[in-house]
Formats: sequence, C-alpha cells, structure tokens
Amino acid sequence: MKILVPVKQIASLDDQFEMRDDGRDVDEDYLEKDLNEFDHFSVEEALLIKEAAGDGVEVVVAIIGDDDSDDALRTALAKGADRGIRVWDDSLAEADGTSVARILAKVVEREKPDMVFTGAQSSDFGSATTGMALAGLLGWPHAAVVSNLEYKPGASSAKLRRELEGGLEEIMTIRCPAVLSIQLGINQPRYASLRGIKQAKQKPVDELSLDDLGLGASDVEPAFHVRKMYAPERGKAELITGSAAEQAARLAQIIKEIRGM
Amino acid sequence: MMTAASDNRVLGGVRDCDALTARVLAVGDLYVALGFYTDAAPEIRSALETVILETRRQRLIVAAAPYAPSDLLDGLSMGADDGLALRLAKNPATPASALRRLLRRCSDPRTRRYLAAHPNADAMILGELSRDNVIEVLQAVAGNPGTSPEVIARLAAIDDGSIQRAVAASQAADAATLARLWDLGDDWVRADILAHPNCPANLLAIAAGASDVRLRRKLAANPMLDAEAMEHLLADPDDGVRAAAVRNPAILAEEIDAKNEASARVRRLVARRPKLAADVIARLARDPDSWVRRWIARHPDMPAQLLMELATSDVPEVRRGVARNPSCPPHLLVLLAADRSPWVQAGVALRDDAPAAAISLLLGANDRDVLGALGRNRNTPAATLEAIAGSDDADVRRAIVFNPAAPQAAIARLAGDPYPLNRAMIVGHAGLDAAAVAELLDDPEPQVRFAAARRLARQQPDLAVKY
Repeated sequence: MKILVPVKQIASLDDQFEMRDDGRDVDEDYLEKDLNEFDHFSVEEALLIKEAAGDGVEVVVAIIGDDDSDDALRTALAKGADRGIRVWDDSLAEADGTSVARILAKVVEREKPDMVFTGAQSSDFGSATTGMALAGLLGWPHAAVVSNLEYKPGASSAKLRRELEGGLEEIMTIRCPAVLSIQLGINQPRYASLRGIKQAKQKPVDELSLDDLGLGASDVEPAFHVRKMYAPERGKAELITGSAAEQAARLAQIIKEIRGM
Repeated sequence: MMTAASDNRVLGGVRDCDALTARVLAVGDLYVALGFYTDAAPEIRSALETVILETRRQRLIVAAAPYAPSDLLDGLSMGADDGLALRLAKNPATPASALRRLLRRCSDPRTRRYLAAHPNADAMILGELSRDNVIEVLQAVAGNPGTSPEVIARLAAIDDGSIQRAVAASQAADAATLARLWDLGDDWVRADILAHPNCPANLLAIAAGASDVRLRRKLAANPMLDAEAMEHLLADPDDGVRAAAVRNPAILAEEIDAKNEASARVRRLVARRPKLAADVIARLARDPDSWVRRWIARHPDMPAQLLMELATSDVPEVRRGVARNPSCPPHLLVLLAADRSPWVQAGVALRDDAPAAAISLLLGANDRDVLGALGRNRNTPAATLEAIAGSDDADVRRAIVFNPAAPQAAIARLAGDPYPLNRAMIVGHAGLDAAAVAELLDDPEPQVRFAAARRLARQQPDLAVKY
C-alpha cells in the first residue's frame, strides 16, 4: 500500500523587500524558502496511517523543483517518509498549478499509489488548484479542505470531514483511490528528530526529468503569465485629537478633501 | 593582530584554534561563522567574512539580524545599497559609526526615519536629522530618548501634534520647554506635560483643580508630586485618577489606605504594591473581590495566619498566590502540594525551597504545569527529571533547560530534542558537555548552530582536537 504526498517549497517574504527588475515577482534575494506549511499536515496524515498500519504502508513524497527544493523534500523525509521523487526541468520555472498537476499525474501513473494527499493550498500563492487538477486528470474522486480522516490501508472508501463556510462541517464518504487536499489543523505535525534528519540524507530520491515521465515542455506550458506584481499604496490613518468641536471640524475637513469639495 | 596568548584564551591554544577555524570555514555555514566572529582574531575574522557575506541574500540577512556583531554591521555599512541601508538602519545592533556613514549618503526618507529612531543614534546624527524636511523624520527624532534638551526645545516649536506629544513625553524636555509647549499644545499634549517630572510647579497646581479628568489622571502619575497633592488625588471622585495615584512610585505606604475604596480596580492596584501597612494587608486578604485576594496572597509581608486562611479559598488562583508567596511556611507548602488544582500544585513545584515532603507528593503528577514546574526544580529527583526530559510535551521537556541541577542524561536528551527551540536553549546549559555542543554545529536549525558556535568560541577550546 502506498500514499503519495506531493509537497512544495514555498517562498516567504522578508518584511522589507524589493521587486525584480521586470516587475513580475519579488527579487529572489528577499525570499526565505521553506516547506509549505500545509504540506507538514499532509505528510503527517500519511505518516499516521503508516504508523497505525505497521510495515505495510510506504509514504512517498514528491516535489517539482530545482536543486534548492531538495531541502523541503529532505524535511519531509526526515519526518519519516520512505523515499522521495524530485522532478525538474528548466522549462518549469514558471509552472502553474495545472502544469504541476500534469507532472504529478505522470508520477501517479508511474508509482501507482493507493491515495494521494496534497496540502489544501500553498502558503505563497494560495491557488489551491493542484489537488483538484490532479484528481481531474486522473479521473479520481477529490475532496478539498479535509479536516478529519478515517482511512484504513486497502479500504475501498474513506470517511472524512470537510470545513465549509460559516463554521459548517460536512461528513462524507469517498471512494478510493482518491486525491485529498489536507487542511491545517487535521493533526499535529511532528518535528523531525535529529536522527531522522541524518537518516533523511541517506534516503533514496529519484531525480526525474520531463523526458523520464514522457512529457515535453509544451505539455507543461502554464495557462497564465504574471504581467505585474506590485504593492498597492496603503491608506493613511490619522489620530484626530482636540475638543469635540475640533474633532468634528477636522472630520468635516477630511470628508471634503476626499470628496474633492 | 591578536596574540597567540589571546588565541589561547579564546579558543584554547593555537592548534585548537586553527583546527576549529578550519572546521568552521569547511562547514561554510553563515550561522556557525556568525557565532565565531565576535571572539575571533582579526585574520580569522576576514576568513569568516568570506563565508558570512558570500551572497547578497546572506548580506541582507546579516544586516537585519539583531544578534549580528556590531563590527560586522559597521563593515557592511560601507558601500551599502538602499536595501542593505534600510535593514542596517532598522537593526538595533548597528553601531553609531555605521549609522553616521549611512546618513551621509541617505536619500530615502524611510531610512532616515529609522536612523532618527535608532537607539544608537548619537547627538550628531540626531542634530542633523532634526533639520530634516520630512515630518516623519522629525517625529522620530522627537521620540528618540537620546535627543538632547536643545534639540527637543527646538522641535517643540513645530506645529505638529505627534512631535508635540513626543516632546511632552521626552525625558530631555526641561521646564522652560514644557511651559512653552503648554500654551501651544492641545489637551493631550498638556496631559502628557503634567506627567513629566520636569513639569513646572505652577502647571501642577492649575491641573489639580482641572475639570478634565485626563489632566488629573496624568497629574496623578507625576513622580514629583508632594504628599499634599497626592493625598488630594487619592480622594479624587474618578477611580482612574485614584488608580494612577496608587500606581505612582512616589507614593508612600502609609499614604495608602484602601479602607473606604469602593473601586475594586483601585483595590487590586493597592494589593500589588510592594510596601503596605499590616492593617491594609489584613483588610485586603478578606476583600470580596477575588482578584484583590489573588494579588495580596502573594504579598511578602502577609502573616502566616492569613496565608493559612487564604489557602482555604475556593478560588484556585488565590491558593496559587499563597503557594507562590516567598513567606509561605513549609507546612503550608506541603498542604498545597496535595491541592485538588494542578495549577496550585505547580505553584509549589516551582519552589526550590519546597520541603522534600511537598516534592514527594507531586512526583506522581501527570499534569503538564506540574511536570514543567518540577522540571525546573533543582530538588526534583534525577529519575523524575529524566522522565520529564522524555515527555511527549515539548514545553514540559524544555523545563530541563532551566534546571541547573539537571542530570547529564536529561541534558543530553534535550540536546537531541526534536523541537528546535529546546535544542537552541539547552546549548546555554552549563551541564552540556563540549562534545555535545560541537555536535550541534551540524544542527539543521540556524539558531542552534549559532548558539553552539557562540558557546564554543567563548569557552570550549579542547573540542577542536576532535576535528
């Protein structure tokens, strides 16, 4: 029995940052790289199933990224995943969620997992498309924002709970294999032990190219391109002081300024 | 250049120093190199700088790091571009020499604002920035505690509410400046002037009869008030004024008598004062408000008889207050160790002076507060501390870090703790042996590597032989 957990290395911003010269992204120098927060939960959920079942479950983590993303992959391996897969090609530098899903669909074809757990979204771009698109490409059932899961390896269905708007929750049964997008808080992710971190360096990682998966650059062409990224001008706050009459006068003045009177 | 003798002192012998330096340079890690930098000889520093400042990303990290050595930040300020300059201006560890350098070629108003607010900005920097034409920069100068009385006096004349408020709160504002500001500012500024220790006496007298409650509240906080004025304010009809007076450190214990105080808010503040008359303590110990009782239960002058009475309170926080009271007698600590509330038991477990009988009663506990407190207690048996070091709860395990009597086995376990903060903190434990510190140079967490390198560079020379 095998669970595939696709993970992502995300970029978080420094408190003061600068844009790239082309104005389409933040300058790389101002970005801190880390494993996507949501993926800590999807990896943990897979590991909990593995530990509850004993030896019969293999957890495989997969990442689409360059050499730098190896750190995120090793973080997941250090927690207890059995092996890793890293797919990279320079043509993937601007890959969107759908392109990533196309690659992952090929990985699923190759690995034949019984379940796929993705994070509900990535904490840098937050598109929440990868899991959904992957399920669509595979023709598998999909459930998003899964906040509780009851699944026994080999079972033909799983029972799960999903978070809905307004504090509602939905309990549903899903046919397996399935793609589940795991929500924050479903479990308490573990920290990797120092021993786990050392062992992770020795764990096998398959490094695959698009060719290895039978894909070409045209198969992973993004559906959209970022034209511009910028920080909009912020509104200004003013503390209005003085007597009630003075405050009212200042308020009237501000309203006039805004309305151009 | 540092002498060999100095190297011996810092890194334990030339041979060790060379080996350790070679090790640090071979690791090529920013945080390990930063940890060694301060204690390294100049020629070693330049080698470390090649590691620390290798990429622009690393230079940005160092420029923003408050733990970065000031000499390194000084060097980084030479030729700093706008991005680096902004980070250096915000970094509280940046020395005055670097700030002056940044100011000389600074065109960005944001950076000038941070320079003006910087705790290391000297009189020259603040004097120059006080003539800036950007109002936010002037506001920052006015709010800087290092700004001189002359500059503060000049800024007081600017018609800007934020600057005037900052001037009114500045310790550098003298009586003449405050007197001028009284006529220029609004009620908020005037209120701040009344709380200032340099506030002119005639203004204090005016404010004592003011109808505006803001003015009286601020006046009651002035540490220079005389006893007569304080007595008047303690009888003020507004409880906010009375509360400010009770908080005022200038008030004497004998001036406080909460006998007829109707406001629980004021009585709570009275109960927190370090010096109180015996009759006031006794009255507050039987106060109907449980917050008053929980504060007074901690009062060091509380007699044993009243502590015993408070120990039977229905409110666990009151009983916890008794357990935390330094005057709590040993037999009462034993009684509270068997309390039905783990929060009270934890209060006993935190005390190094708790009798052995009290500690024994707590050893079977499984509550996280009690375990965490036992983990800090130097009289907890070694076997219990070792069990705490293996707890499933990372916060409970961390208690070992604060226990100077923790056994080696517990300390070693923390050095391999999965929770990075626990590893970073155990590096500072005197009981962690040098070999274990050196192992942590390879830790995946930057803060652990930095702390380990810092400790090795400061005091652990022999380890270098290992490498």
